[in-house]
Amino acid sequence: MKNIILATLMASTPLTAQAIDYRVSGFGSIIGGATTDKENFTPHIKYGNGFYDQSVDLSTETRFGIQLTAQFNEQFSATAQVISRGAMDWKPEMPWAYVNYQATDSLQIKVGQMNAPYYLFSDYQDVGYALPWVNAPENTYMVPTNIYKGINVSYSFYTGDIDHVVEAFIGKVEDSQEGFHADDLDTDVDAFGINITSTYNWLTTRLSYNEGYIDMNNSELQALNDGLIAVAADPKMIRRTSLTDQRASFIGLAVRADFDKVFVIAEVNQLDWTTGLFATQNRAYVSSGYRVTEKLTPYITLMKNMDNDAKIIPTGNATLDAGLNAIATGSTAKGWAIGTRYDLVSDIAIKAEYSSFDVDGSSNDTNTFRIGVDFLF
Amino acid sequence: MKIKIYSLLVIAALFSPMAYSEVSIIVHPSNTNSFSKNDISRLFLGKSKSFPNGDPAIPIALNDDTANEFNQNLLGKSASQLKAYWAKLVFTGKATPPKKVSKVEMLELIKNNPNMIGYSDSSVVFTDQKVIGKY
Repeated sequence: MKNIILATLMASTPLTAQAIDYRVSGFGSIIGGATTDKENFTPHIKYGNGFYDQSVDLSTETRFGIQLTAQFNEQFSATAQVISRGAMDWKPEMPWAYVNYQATDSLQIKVGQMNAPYYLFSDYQDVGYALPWVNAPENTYMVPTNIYKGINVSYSFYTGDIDHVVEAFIGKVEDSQEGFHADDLDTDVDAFGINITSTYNWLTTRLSYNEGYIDMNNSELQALNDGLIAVAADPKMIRRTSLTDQRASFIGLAVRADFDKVFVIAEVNQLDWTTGLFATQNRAYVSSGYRVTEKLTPYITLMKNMDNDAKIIPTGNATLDAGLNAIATGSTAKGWAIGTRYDLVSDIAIKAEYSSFDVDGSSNDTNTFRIGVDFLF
Repeated sequence: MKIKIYSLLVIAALFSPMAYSEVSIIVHPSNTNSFSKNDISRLFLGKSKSFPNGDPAIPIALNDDTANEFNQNLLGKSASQLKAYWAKLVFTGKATPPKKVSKVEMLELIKNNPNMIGYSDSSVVFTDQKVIGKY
């Protein structure tokens, strides 16, 4: 085996690589958890119908992924990644399936199906091993993963000792939520975004801006919307919230400081709806960990929601206004989590976390204990 | 007498390069680039794919304990930190980690391929490789 690797390496100088080079890599996370109180905890997993309650659950966040990359030559490669999640009844999905063109050392163009890079950890949120926590802080990662079909261009450069990567994408996010009440809910989003990540030695910053134009197609929602227009004396508000071309924008700011023993990560994200029906979601967390030994890294996370309620234009129908106001009210909440990562061997990490989340106006806190194993293969 | 020899050995051990596991960075003898510590770490972290003069570069890693010294001294990362670093690059298609070989294979590869850059513990007498730095 070693001789084969050696022979392959010797035979392939970068200028004369001929054979297709295949690489298979895999990852997985097995996570179990339960809440210690009545309030259920629902992580934002795409389509996930999983949640934690007072009985132990092993499927909500558990997932396995495998990735195959075929390197055709110095410039072209193709990658496919399949993930199977407990929250999706293990039905395989393909968040990544793209062709990569390495135009120059610093310019990469990908075409195909990819995860939208909204957050600091978007690109590898499923790869638990690469995260310091059991999962990314729940409150701040409020938009579930979006898989888009489109183009992604990234360009890297440096100024002095600072490395920068600028990434831009444009594409279409098509979702179909089967059996949304009686009919399927089809959503179709035209999305684009740009982000810049800068790294200087111990410091990484990331700024991300994204926009989406959302069309929803569902007979029940359409009937509801038509019905609402009919009962409203002044349907201006309802017309604005029609099911097509709803604009949403997302801004994210992230900072990560990584020292020998200590790391600090913070993200502030804002999701804003132009229609004015939904609250503007302002979410943040700050998390810090300490490497006690090479293997043991406990952490503490503080989370905060500071949503701005949307302003409803009165429709002239009191019941309707009450309903709209309920939708327009955002969440003000705070929470904390303490946990630890323990690197068992070089490819396996064990994690445990206890988190508590307190939503203003809700009588119960959400208190959740989770323990997990992350691995690479 | 015994004590003298013993203390000599201790002193020798203290001053020998092996005592603090120095790592030598090696390239093909025809490679005329000069490298800063940052240049080397950029190559081994997949942030750069060519030598300072623009020629394509292939970093090669060791599969023995010297790798830990190299990762710590040059890249400033522990074994699991480096694993996590590569996991995020691999699963986002941004870069792939350097291939890992034995010390014997390393010396053979560097001797034969002008595009490669590698490392070894400094106890080796490098006859067919050029040492561009010791860390």
